[in-house]
Amino acid sequence: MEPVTGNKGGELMSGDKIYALLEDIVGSENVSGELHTLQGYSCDPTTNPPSLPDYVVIATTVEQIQKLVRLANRERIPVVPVVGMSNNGGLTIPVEGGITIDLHKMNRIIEINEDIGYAIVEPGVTIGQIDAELKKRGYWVSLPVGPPGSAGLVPGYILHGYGHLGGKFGINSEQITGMEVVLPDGELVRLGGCAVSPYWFHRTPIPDLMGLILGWQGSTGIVTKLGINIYPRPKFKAMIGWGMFTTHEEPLPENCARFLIELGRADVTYDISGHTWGAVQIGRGLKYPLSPKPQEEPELYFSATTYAYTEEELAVKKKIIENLVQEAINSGLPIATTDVTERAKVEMPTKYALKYSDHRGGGGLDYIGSITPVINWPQGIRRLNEVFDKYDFTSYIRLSIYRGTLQGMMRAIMPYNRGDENDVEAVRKMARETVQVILDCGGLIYKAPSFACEEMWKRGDPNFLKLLKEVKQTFDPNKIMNPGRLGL
Amino acid sequence: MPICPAGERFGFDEYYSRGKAIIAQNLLDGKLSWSQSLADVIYKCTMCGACTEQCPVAYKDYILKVFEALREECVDRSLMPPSVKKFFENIYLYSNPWRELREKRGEWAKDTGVRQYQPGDEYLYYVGCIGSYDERGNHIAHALGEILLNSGISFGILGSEENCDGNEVKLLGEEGLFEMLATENIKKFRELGVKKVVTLSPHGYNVMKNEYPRYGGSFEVEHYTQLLRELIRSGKIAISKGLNVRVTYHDPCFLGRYNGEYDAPREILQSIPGIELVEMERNRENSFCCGGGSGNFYTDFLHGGENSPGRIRVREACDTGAQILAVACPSCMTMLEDALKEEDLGEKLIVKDIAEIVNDALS
Repeated sequence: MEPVTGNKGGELMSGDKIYALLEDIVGSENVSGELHTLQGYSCDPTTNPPSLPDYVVIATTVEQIQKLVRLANRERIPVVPVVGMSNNGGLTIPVEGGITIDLHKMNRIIEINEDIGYAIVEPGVTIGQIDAELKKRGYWVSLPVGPPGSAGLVPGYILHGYGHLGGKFGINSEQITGMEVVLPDGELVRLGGCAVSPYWFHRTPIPDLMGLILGWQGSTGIVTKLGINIYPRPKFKAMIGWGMFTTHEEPLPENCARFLIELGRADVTYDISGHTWGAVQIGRGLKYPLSPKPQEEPELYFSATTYAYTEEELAVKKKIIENLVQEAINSGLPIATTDVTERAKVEMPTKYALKYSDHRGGGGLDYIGSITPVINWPQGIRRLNEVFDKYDFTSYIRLSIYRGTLQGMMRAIMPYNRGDENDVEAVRKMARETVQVILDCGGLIYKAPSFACEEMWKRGDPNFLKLLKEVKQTFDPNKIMNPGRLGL
Repeated sequence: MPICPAGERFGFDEYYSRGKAIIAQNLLDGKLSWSQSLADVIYKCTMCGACTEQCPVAYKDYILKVFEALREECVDRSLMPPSVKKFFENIYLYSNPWRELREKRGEWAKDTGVRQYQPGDEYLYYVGCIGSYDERGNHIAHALGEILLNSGISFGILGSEENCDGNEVKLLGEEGLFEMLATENIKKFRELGVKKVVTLSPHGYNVMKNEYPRYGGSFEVEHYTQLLRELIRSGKIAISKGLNVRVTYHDPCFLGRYNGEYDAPREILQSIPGIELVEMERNRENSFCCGGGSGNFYTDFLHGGENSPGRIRVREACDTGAQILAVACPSCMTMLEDALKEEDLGEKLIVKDIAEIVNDALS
């Protein structure tokens, strides 16, 4: 599909005048309207059709962002904030053109408060950057799983992403303690406790307005600072692995799902994650098509990771997990332990998502993630396998339980060949069918593309959709903030 | 930490590896046309290889080849920037980028004991353009010459008969000129019976080791730090003078990432009594390029502003508390010394080549 371009708003200044105004705001070196610049910001690894912005600007201060947003409002030009260009959901594609605001140079770690336990970061701070800085001090944060170290930390948090400590601390957005946001009218506001207190330590007990920004995919404001919990970094790590020796048609029987829930409830793990056999082969660098799965290899690989501050603590936690796994084996579940020695050595941040994009050649990677009750994973994984099989793609499903509760991330990841129209078409269909599977399981789509949102709203409370629209209309009456998102 | 020098300097996605790959794809798909402004972007890359080092996908080894191919297209279409065109002309006419006379190439060695290479000498000491013509480069060339004389090995230089090695010419996309330089050099070496070459610059080392063989070059080639390490280990160079100084070492791209040599320079530094070697955060395969590669020490595309790679790097060096920033490349020396002046850090840090440091430590 040819990329589309051009402002779609109302009365507009000529392009030259807007360009000049952008130069006034950010400096001539930080504005471009060249096609070779715009093209870089028009696409991502997914099958979402590319769409050109009209301008790209690099902003380095909050004041610049405010001025850009005010200009955009005056001229009815869309604005789309981006950071590391590694988004895997089409969310940074400027579907209505406009100004793409590149924030990656706003990359200061503003404060690390070890006494109270938070850090304040700008939107351009990367996963690798914050981890390296905190490691020096003996702390860490829950890092988004899959993106490389060069990916922005803030997007992974404000989109409700999952982090490597999610099994203990929950979804990333639950780690947010405060934020500073530029609203669509250019006003700057603080949300969370930092709206009142000089400390960015908690969202409550004042009214929590962060819900007006979190999960809105950049369509209600641009986050310019984010406060996040930091935690003391444990010294010791253990990973216990097991395989589920089931069938492709019934990869996760209900009793196995219940075992996972029980393990999560034991509250000793930082992460419980699983992959399909296909996903593991892709991770080993094997290319499509894979040889048939040997019978002696499991249908699903799982691991539980725990950390501790002392060796004694680690020994206790490891024993609890091992005992639970052994009890499951003894009770007749089709489970056996697997060797995870090499996997245990892998440090965050990893780059696995990028590695997987080459499975079919062509470097494309599409993705539908969800938060889905674990008890419904059996039917979900079974049906997702059917979707992959239908289109002759390797079944690549990833699962993670978070915060020892009863739900978790169930995601279908689709490496594809961007140069093959058949692959592109197949993945687009698979994405839509995956959405239906997840919704049928009572799940909610994570980082939902517009078509997925529309499906969710069809099934949901009409007053919820009404309220979403009213909030969006109130905040952004000129519809400039990353338009085309959320099916609104 | 950020790893792309052009990306840090200019910021837009097209200056990073991802952006250039998209440019290449769009050119092939007919969605982008060749233009001067496009060529300017393509040339603003030092070819440092950091993106290849970081990339996890199977086709990562093709990344730099794609960038080189883009430049070859620019040359074919006469779209290279004027300074690149001038670079090629000067190399072709004078065998150096500054239009200096050939007969002056060996003048740095006058009044030293370094003599012309004679058949039968164990090593040809290949100096390169910066070492031969740049004043600061001369000092490094001189220091290494002293060390080699001290070691007792037999060696000589080509002096005015030395030609440009062609590393930057190749990276800038002039394959024809590179082939001419390579074949002429190989012919000269063969005529003289050269079996071993030791280079001052990692750029010369890289191209002679990795590219000359396909033109028939069959001689051993080492970067001087590799030879120096062996000379120290074997006792042919005796270092007895302590220096009592904190040093940080900058890995040059064409010695480190391109050729995997990270240890020889460090071993040399650590063999000098009193040196405390501290590492910058970005070291070894994660070293942050000084900005001089791919001819940029001449074309200077990445210069300007506090985001120029050289300035970023000297700030990083300063953060280690080191008093000396050690380099093993005349191009790095040029870029980092200039950056030090621009950062006004001259009182906190000096840049020295390993050859100079070792020479200081010789009894």
